[in-house]
Amino acid sequence: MSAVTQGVREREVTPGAGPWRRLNVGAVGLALAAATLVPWLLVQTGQRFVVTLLVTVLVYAMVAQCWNLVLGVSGIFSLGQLVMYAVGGYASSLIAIHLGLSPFLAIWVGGLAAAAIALVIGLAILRLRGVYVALLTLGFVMLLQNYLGTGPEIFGGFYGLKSPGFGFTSNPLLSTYYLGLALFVLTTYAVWRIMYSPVGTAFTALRDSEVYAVSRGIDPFRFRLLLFAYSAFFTGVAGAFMAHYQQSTTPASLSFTLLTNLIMMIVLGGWGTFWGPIVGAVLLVFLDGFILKDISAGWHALVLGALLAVVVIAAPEGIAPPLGRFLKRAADRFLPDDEDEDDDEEAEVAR
Amino acid sequence: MGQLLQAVWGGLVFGSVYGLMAVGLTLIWGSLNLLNLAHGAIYVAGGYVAYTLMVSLGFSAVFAFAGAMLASAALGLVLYAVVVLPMLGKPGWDNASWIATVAVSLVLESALLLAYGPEVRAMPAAIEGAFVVNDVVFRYQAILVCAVAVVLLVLLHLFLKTSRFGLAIRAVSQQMDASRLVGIPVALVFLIVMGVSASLSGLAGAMLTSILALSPTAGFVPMLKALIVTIFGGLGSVKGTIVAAYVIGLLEAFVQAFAGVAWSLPALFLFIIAVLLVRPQGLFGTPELQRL
Repeated sequence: MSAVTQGVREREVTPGAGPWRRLNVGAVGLALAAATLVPWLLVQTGQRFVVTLLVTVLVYAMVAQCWNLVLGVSGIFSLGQLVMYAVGGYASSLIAIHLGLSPFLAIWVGGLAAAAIALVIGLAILRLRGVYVALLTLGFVMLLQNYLGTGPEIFGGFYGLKSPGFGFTSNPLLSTYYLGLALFVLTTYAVWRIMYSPVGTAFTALRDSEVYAVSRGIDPFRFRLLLFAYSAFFTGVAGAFMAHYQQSTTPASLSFTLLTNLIMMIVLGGWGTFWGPIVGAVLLVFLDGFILKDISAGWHALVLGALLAVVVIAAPEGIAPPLGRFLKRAADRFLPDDEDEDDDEEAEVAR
Repeated sequence: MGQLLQAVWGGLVFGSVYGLMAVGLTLIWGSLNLLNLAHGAIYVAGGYVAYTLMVSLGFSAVFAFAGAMLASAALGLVLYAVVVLPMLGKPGWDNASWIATVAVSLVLESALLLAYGPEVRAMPAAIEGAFVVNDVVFRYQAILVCAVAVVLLVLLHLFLKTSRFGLAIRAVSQQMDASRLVGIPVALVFLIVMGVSASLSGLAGAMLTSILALSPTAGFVPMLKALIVTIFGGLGSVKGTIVAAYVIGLLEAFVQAFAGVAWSLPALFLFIIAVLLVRPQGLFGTPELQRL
């Protein structure tokens, strides 16, 4: 022990008092194994459609998680997450088309570009609050959509860009899925890591009582800017992945329908919670893909809008928290001796 | 010169209608702290009600406009019952409320889509015809829109400033709890605010769709512009909103005349971004106390 550290007392925090969470290796390993094996089985049994839905789930879950970080955890009324999503897709596609960079590397450039744009937008809007932020971010979405559609030739107008694909030769669908899964796991870990850290506590504090948070020395502007760029990076990566997966990038990635769909995922799942956006993305994509597949656009929007209204008004905490409590009760009943280990996941859900 | 005057005239017409919409938004924001994103859907609903009354049922324009106002006032009350009543005062009202209004507007717009189909309809003008002075075209419909809007805005201003109900509305928007303490029926005030705001939006829809176009999603852009007006005027300030509506209307008309229609919304957004950076409380808004 060196002289410098000798005088420093180890800071002791009562277990459970700090924001940190232990990673439950068993549960995560089990979930990963399932996420790896099930699609393989689905492809073997000819259910390719379900796997394409799963890829969509992964992408939207990534975006919804990042957006939830901004909207739910930190309480910034931002409607502009799709700007980062589109910037990621366009930047990555342009780099891959014009510089010939492999899509595997280009998606990271997409993420960085999105983070850079988020810094610029954040500088402009994050000193404002409430509805002002909502209006201006919505403004950025519409401005960008307009600009990409009618702007310089290089963006390809309303038809967008033909993004190069990943070029998987053997079993492209499954390979794409695994790549998406890797990116999803990375994003989820990043979100989990920042949510359950002192920085995450600062975000929640700024949301719940800004005056108190500031009086305890949290600089709201700097923290929000950090959060904005952090979430934008992973959103950009998701957008870039989607672009190369679909092999096209169009201004439709900024459409109001997609915007409301993503908000719906966050709200249905339960905003401000870790599991909410993931649960919401799974729910909504499968609802779209199976139950609401054959009905007309009008009824589709009607059903989804009514669902959103009912959830916001009658069950504002969303689906994930009650589900988590239910699972925890079930686990308590059937695994009475397992006090802490297996319940970690559910306890987080219940948060 | 003719183009300039035409732009000024266009700006006055659009400004009047934005004023009608924005006053409703600002009233609701001021008293309920609610960002009503269903305002655009109510605007379109007003347009469709007027269309049905005029084209399908053959009523006169006056009846159509009155019907549109009544129907949208009813929608405002529905919005009050569905969104405000169960949620006001609960934790998370700030965020959850506007998402609920998005949900309501989705339902309303898709119901209109189911009822009328996606095609763009042309709403007939209440009065056809136009006259020309110095190369400037004055359509009778535009004059009517402008006149009705100005009269209503003046009436609303007088209502808020001189009547007892107006006093109550202003009191509630300043201090809800204190107003309740001195015996103001706050729930009734909210009902009136929602009804008035929605009926003005519906009337704007009935009048403006004969100049623009009528389709289930046609309310989104006017609502955005009304939001810009509201923020520029200072959220919660009716006087500021009316002034801002004409400024924004004129600005938009000039941009459309000299740079092209595609630039109108981008220009407005750039303008409001600049305004918010320099003067975040808008023209007549009170600076926020929470500013640290």
